[in-house]
Amino acid sequence: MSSSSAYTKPEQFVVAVTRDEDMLKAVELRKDDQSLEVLWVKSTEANGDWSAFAAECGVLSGTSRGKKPDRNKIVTVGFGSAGVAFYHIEAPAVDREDAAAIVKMQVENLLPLPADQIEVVWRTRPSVNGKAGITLAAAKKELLQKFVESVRCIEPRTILLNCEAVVKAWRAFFGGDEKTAVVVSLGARNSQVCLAEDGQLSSAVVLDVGMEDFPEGPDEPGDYEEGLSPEQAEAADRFCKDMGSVLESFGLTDAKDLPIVVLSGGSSDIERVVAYLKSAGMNAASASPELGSITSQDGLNAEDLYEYRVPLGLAAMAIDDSTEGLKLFESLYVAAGEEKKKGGLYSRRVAGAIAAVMLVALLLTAYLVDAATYKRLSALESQPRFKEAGQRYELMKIAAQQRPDLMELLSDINSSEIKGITLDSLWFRKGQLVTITGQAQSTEQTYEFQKYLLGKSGIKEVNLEHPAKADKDRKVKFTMKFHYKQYTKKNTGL
Amino acid sequence: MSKLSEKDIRTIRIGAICAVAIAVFAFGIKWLENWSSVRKSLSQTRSRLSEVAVDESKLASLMSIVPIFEVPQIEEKQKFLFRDKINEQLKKARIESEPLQIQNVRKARQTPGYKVLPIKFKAKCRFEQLLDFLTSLKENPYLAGVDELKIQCDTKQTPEKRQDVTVEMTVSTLVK
Repeated sequence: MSSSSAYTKPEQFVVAVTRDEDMLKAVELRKDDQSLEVLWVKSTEANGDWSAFAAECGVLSGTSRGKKPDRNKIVTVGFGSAGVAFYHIEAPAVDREDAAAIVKMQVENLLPLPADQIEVVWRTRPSVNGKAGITLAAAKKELLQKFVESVRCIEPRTILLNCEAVVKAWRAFFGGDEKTAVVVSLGARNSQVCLAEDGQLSSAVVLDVGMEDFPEGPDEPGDYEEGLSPEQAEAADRFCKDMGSVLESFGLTDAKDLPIVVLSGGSSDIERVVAYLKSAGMNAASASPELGSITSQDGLNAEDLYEYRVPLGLAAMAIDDSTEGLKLFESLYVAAGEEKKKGGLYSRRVAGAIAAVMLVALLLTAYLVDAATYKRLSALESQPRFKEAGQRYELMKIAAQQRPDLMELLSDINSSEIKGITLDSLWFRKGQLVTITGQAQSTEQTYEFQKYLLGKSGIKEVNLEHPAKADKDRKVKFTMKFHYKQYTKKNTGL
Repeated sequence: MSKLSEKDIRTIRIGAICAVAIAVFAFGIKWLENWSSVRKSLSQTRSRLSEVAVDESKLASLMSIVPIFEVPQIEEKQKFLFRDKINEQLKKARIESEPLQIQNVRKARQTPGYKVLPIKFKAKCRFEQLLDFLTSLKENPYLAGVDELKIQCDTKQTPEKRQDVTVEMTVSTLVK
């Protein structure tokens, strides 16, 4: 293997699809370490169908169509911001958990509907003087769920907000670098007005005024004052008033110098709108795509990039790991791949790994328990008192084995009810047979006495020796020897 | 820098698996040996402890034979303790014996680390007195065992008058 070989981040492919008024628009971006490239752009005619368009773009899972989705592509879908409301609250600069509690407490007062009918997400802005601004985005759950159902056939990885994509596109492709700015994206029949703070969307409003409301005017933007028709003047006046209301809703009434950036593909119509805003005392300017920020084999021009600014912004968000989007669909939609990832926990490989880890843990626990028990018992055993107790017990057991119950023996011998038997002596010595001598009236009595002794527990093998009659008193003298328990066996002494 | 090929990645994976396997084999065997040794020692310790931790019935049986017992002292101390206690028990039974004879110590067969010290005595007494003495003998905390007992009646007396007996007895204690 070559020493110069090194792991490089693989190329990323993102397909972003969104509905821009009646049209569906899609782009595919390829990103590698060095560059960002537009591979293709596509759009439908008016009222295009999601699944048909997705199939055309090659991203449809469409089992019914017999195609498998390309798992190497990230597919993202944009959600129009018309139904999304933005709110701002201020909270002490606390951690995310505490901020969540604050949001939860305040959100119920802000929302027009019960909390269970509204989906809310939030994002904190950098804190200033111990206070952190919190941006909340809220939308009706029903609306979001309907949208999810309509795009589920595409199996997008994420669903993002178009208004965030506008801000991202401005930053990424239109050279936007202002800390705070109002970004205006003009559509045919409506306009997206976004407040961008610290490079992120802070608030957004959709105005129902679009380019179609501005009838064609003079060729030169500077001539607008002289050549305005009454319709044009009315549309310009309405747009400027709407913009003033939007700025007021953003809390920017006094910010006269706040840059208002109108995204443009370089057309004179947009320049005319900018001129209207300027005439209303606003610090408006147009921003055109920077062609160096992105490459394209198809030779896309500024007008094309402007046309696809929203899907381009969506794709840039999906590709940029550092972008913390407002994930309004997070709890409502889980991508198929993500489901499989969660399901992967139950896969054989993961189960096997868990079983192996559990086995190792079990063995380790058993070992530690054994080691700890041994240590504890050894410590107990080595204690002097414990040793002494053990030694004492052993000695007591030996003493018990060495103490014949002589009272029991004497009692057994003497309790014979055979009349006429008189005992003369008894000799007990460990390791030897017990010897008793005595006298009886007759030989039969000696036999009877022998039988009596044999009937006693502990006495065995009673031998009658030398039964002989004495001449003097005619009595029979006898000697008997027998075993008594274990004491008469050899080597029984201490 | 060029990308790693599939072959490179596979080689790295196999290498990593082999390295882990070698480490597991090397340390695992030692660990298992150590565990085996711990388990053996633990088993021995438990066995020793179980000998001490006897059940109540066994202990009661033992206590009926040896109700009181003192751990043996060194010979110089133990022999006097034992002799004095025997003497006290004889007196308590009103037996007047000849002087107690302390015998030579001998090596104990059943109790390593200890020696056996016998004491022998001879007395004349009534049979009831002997029974009293034998009854009290197990209360002697130094008594290890009874080696010998010889009881002799005067055969010239009539059976009714044979309550006077001559007793010879050897009892032992353990000494360190």
